[in-house]
Amino acid sequence: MLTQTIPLFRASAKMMLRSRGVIWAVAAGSLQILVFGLMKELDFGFGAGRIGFLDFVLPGIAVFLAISQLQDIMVAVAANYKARGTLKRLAVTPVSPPLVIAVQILTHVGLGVVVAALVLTVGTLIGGDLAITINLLWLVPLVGLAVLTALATAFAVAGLTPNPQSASNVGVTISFLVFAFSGAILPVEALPGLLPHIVQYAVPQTALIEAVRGIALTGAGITEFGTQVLIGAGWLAVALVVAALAYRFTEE
Amino acid sequence: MTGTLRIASASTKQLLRSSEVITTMVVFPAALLVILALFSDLKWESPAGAVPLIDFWVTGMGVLAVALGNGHAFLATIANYKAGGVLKRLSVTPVSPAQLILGEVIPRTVMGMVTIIAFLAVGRLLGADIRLELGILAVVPVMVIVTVTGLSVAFVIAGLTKTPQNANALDSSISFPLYLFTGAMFPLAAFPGWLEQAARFIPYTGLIATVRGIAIQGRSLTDFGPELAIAAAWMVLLFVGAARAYRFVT
Repeated sequence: MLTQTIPLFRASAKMMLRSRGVIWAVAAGSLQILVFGLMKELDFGFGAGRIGFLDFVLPGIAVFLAISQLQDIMVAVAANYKARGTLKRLAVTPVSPPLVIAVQILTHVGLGVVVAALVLTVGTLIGGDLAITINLLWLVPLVGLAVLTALATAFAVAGLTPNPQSASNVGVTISFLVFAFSGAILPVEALPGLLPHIVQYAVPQTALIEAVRGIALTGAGITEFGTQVLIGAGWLAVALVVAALAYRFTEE
Repeated sequence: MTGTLRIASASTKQLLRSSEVITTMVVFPAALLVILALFSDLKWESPAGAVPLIDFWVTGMGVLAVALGNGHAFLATIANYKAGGVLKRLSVTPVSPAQLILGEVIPRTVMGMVTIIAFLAVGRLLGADIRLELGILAVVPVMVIVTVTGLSVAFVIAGLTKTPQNANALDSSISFPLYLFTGAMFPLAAFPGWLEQAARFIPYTGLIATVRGIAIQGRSLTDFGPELAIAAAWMVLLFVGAARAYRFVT
């Protein structure tokens, strides 16, 4: 098992680093935050409140770009595996398809954490006001959880759609909704009525992004975000179950 | 002429049946409007003052969505024409490649104008401060420039790249800075002075400012002479670039 897993990890990492989409995912986040860093005099206003744009979006965009771009990439990979019967053919080799998938997912989770860390580092260097404490290390499992949920969602989408084109359309639609309602870029507190409370439970990444922002900006410990972590873990479980039911490794 | 109109009519039917066009021109703009309506309390606060997000994005994202959505869908068509040698083969039939291209451009231009007017009208219904007076018709010629610019960019990209995949990748790379620097999403006043000035020379910046001025402030087209001059210069430049880069028969 281990003799197969290590070479698979190495191959998956090499393929990932050669992919243009992945290079773009790494570069785009940092470029975007560099541009946001130029907008130091931009704020969000709602009600009587005012929030500095850069500080608000820095933690949000670090997570959002990692999850949306890696989800889009994984939707394409998973949908093409399905369309071409790649895993069906792999099933008759000594390497098991679930192992191939698991290795790919773990490599991408690692990349997601690196992308988010890079964005946060660049953002801090250009003036973002992060609380540099040991608690920042809690962002690693939190971002990992968010990326894992996004990748499981990608497999669920690939499994539930008939072809790569439809999978891509559904994937982009999900990213668009996450962009709007996850609190990554737009403050959900500005939504009317009960919606700010509802989206925290109804949108997979909202609670996790709230926890990431809280820790990154205030230096609070993860114990202050127990509810958010539970909601995030709940969504991960749902995404994994749907992916496992919808995406078949060896049957059409 | 009759041939071109027939092709335009066939292209229109195809466009209306295309899921990609429906997605980029109807589904996403509609979803964006709903989102903006929900965030109607949110404002951008910059040195230029406070502006409701819904007013800012309905105009800015509306223009850019038409330009990029139309251009992206068109690029897929013409990059495949090139890769498949479609125009080369067409050149030996009574239909000329130019007629075919014109037949594609006409319905997309009309669709772009219909989309932006509908986008502004629905935006107003959902709470954007859009002035739906007679003066709003001044956005029509602006949207012609927007559409022709977007389609010319598509020709240049299709001409410069070898495969539809490369064309798609180059198109995505170009779209990314447009969202950041044209004033579609973020007020240019929030940038440092040098960048704010430089951004005025990007193809769509002046057009977005013009549509915003007409639709939100009720200003007239003549107030935007410099913006329109820059946009017209880009349109001509890209049109010439398109004619040189994208060869119909060789």
